[in-house]
Parts: sequence; C-alpha cells; structure tokens
Amino acid sequence: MLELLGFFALGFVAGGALLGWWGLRHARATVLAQHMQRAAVQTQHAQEQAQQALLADLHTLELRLEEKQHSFDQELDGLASDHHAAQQQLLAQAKELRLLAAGGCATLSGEVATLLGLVKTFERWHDDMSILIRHNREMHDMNDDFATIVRQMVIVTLNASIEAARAGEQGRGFAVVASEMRNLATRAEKLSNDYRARLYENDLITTTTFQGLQAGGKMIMGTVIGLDLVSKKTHAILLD
Amino acid sequence: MISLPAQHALQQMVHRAIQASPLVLEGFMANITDLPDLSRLGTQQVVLLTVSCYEFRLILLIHFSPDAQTYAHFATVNKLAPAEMEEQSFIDAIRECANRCCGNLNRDLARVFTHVGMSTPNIIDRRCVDYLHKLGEGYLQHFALQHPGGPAFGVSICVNAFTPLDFACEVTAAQETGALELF
Repeated sequence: MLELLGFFALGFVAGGALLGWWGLRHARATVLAQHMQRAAVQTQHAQEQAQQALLADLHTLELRLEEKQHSFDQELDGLASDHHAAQQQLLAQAKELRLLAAGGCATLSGEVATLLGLVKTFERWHDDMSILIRHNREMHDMNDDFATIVRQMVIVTLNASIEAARAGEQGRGFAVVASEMRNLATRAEKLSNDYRARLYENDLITTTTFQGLQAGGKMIMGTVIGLDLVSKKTHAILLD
Repeated sequence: MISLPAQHALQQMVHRAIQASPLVLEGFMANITDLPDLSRLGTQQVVLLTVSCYEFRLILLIHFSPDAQTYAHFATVNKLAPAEMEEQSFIDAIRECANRCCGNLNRDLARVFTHVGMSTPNIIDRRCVDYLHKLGEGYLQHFALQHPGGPAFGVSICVNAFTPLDFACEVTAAQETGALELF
C-alpha cells in the first residue's frame, strides 16, 4: 500500500513537474508572442513613419521637378523664340541676297546681250575688209595696166633706138633720148613688178590681220556666251 | 616654240579635217602627202581661214585652180550638173568647203584649247602665199591632196605661237568612227 502511495505520490510529483514545465513554457511563449507583437507594431509604425517621410521627400522632389520643368519650358520657349527670330532674319536676308543676285544676273544678261551686239561690229569689219580687198584688186588691175604700158614703152623705145640708128648722124640726138626713155621704161617695169609683189604681200597681211581680228572676236563671243549661259542658269536657280 | 609632238598632232588634225571635208568626195580616201614647197603644185588661188586663241594663230590655206576639173568636183559635191556650176556658185562652194575643213580642225583644237575662234574664208591669189614668212616665226607645212579622178588641191598650215605649244593627239581605233582621242 505504501508502495502504491509512493508511486502515486511520485506520479503526482512527476505530473506536477510536467504541468509546471508546460505552464512555464506556455508563459514564455505568451511573453515572446507579446514581445513580437509589440515589435511588429513598432516596426509597422516605423515603416509608416519612413513611408510618410519618403512621401514627403517625393512630394518635395516633385515640386522641385515641376519648378525646374517650368523653368526649362520657359527657357526653351525663349530659345525657340530667339531661334525663330534668327531664322526669320536669316530668311529675310537670304531673300534679299537672292533678289540682289537675281538682279545682278539680269543686269549681266542685259550687258551680255548688248555685248553680243558686237557681232554687228564684226559684220562692219567684214564689209570694210571686202572694200579693202576690192580696192587692192583694183590696184592690181591698175598696176597690170601700168605694166602693160611700160612693156609697150620698152618696145617703143627699142624701136625708136633702131630708127635713130637708121637715121645715122641726124638721128644721134634722138638715139640719146630713145636710150634714156628705155632706161626709164626699164626702171618703171621694175617698179611695177616690185609694186605688184608688195600688193600681194599687202593682200596676205591685210587678210590675215582681218581674219585674226574676226577669229579673236569670235573667241571672245564664245566666252561671253558661255558666261551668259552660266548667268542664266544661276538666275533660274535663284528664282526657283 | 612648237614642240615636235604638237607639230605631229597638228598634222594629224589637218589630215582628218581634209578627209572629212568636201575636198574629198564621199566614199573616197584621199592620198595626203607632205610637200617641201609649193613649186610643183601649180594652183592659182588660195582660200584661207584663221583659227585664233590666246596661245596661237593658225592659218589654214587651201590651194586650188578655178579650172574645169575643180568646177566638176564641186558640182559633184553639190549634186549639180557641171554646166550648172556658175562662177558665184563655185566661189560659194569653195568657201563652204574651206569653212567645213577648218571647222573640223577647229573642233579638234577646241578639245585641247578652251577658247578658240574661227574666221570666215577669203580668197586671195596664190602668189600671196610667198609672203607667209612675213607673218612671223612659226610652223609652216604644206600638203598635197590627190584622189582618183579629182583635181589637184594643196593645203598649208601656218601656225604662229605666242606661248610654247606642246600637246599630243593620238589616233586610236576610235578613228574609224570619226573620233580623235586627244591627250
């Protein structure tokens, strides 16, 4: 019986100890839970405060950003306005310059058209040249006539010398005159031949000089026409 | 003043100008030979033209005689019966012929020299040519031109250079198509 009581008491003590351990553990868990709950509340509170601070900062930054944006917009508007004004000024200047250049081209074309009237001068030169060549040809003809007369004179003076020789003593004076006349005719013939040679030389120099002027003139005309084409193209581009 | 390549180039240009002119009847090839002087040519008149630029003056002379054979040649060129070729028509024909010949030469020269101009033709007596040396120092070359049945023509060039002239003209396969390559 005592043993049963001992066992009972021992069991009671063991059960009490177990119950006590469980109670102690439960109490600890409760305290820990409460502590964690408090900690969670505190953490949540801190987070809310941090969030509010961040929101405040964000708001401040947004305000500053808005100010900056406004400032930039104003600056950009100013720049755009300046740019537009400068662009308008440049366009106006370009238009003025274009009109000025087009006016210059038109003036140049007018001057070139006047200059191309130079062709009339060439035509006049050509007419003058034709007159000069005709004049030279007439001088050739006159010189040929003169040469014919001189040749005839040479024959006549030769005949006169023969006749003077036939007349003998009475013809001596006439022979001297005939001889002198033959000398003169021979000199005249040489002069006529020299004159003819000079006329041919003159024909060549006159013709080549005239042609040189004419060809040089046409060369200048070609250059002027080239300039006129460039001017007209430039004028068309400027007014396009 | 005028280099040998330039003289050679001028000769080639003249040959081509003659061949493409009415001096040679269509379908014929002219026999062009150099002449030391004009003593054997026996022509009576000359039609001359001038090509001028800053660098030189070139005078092209075509020697001819206004005889029946030459009249017949230009009648053929102008598709006329010989009897229809009157004096004025003949003068017009010979001037036109010289104009075309010199025009061919002028066109080739314009490929080498930027600004060139050409005169109109004038006819003068053959004896005037004896005084070409009076125009100054330069390059003078005479050519004889013959083709079967045709009249005797002579061609001369007299070049007075104002600056040293040196250029070349090489005839290539393109010559067959009538184009010269200039360098």
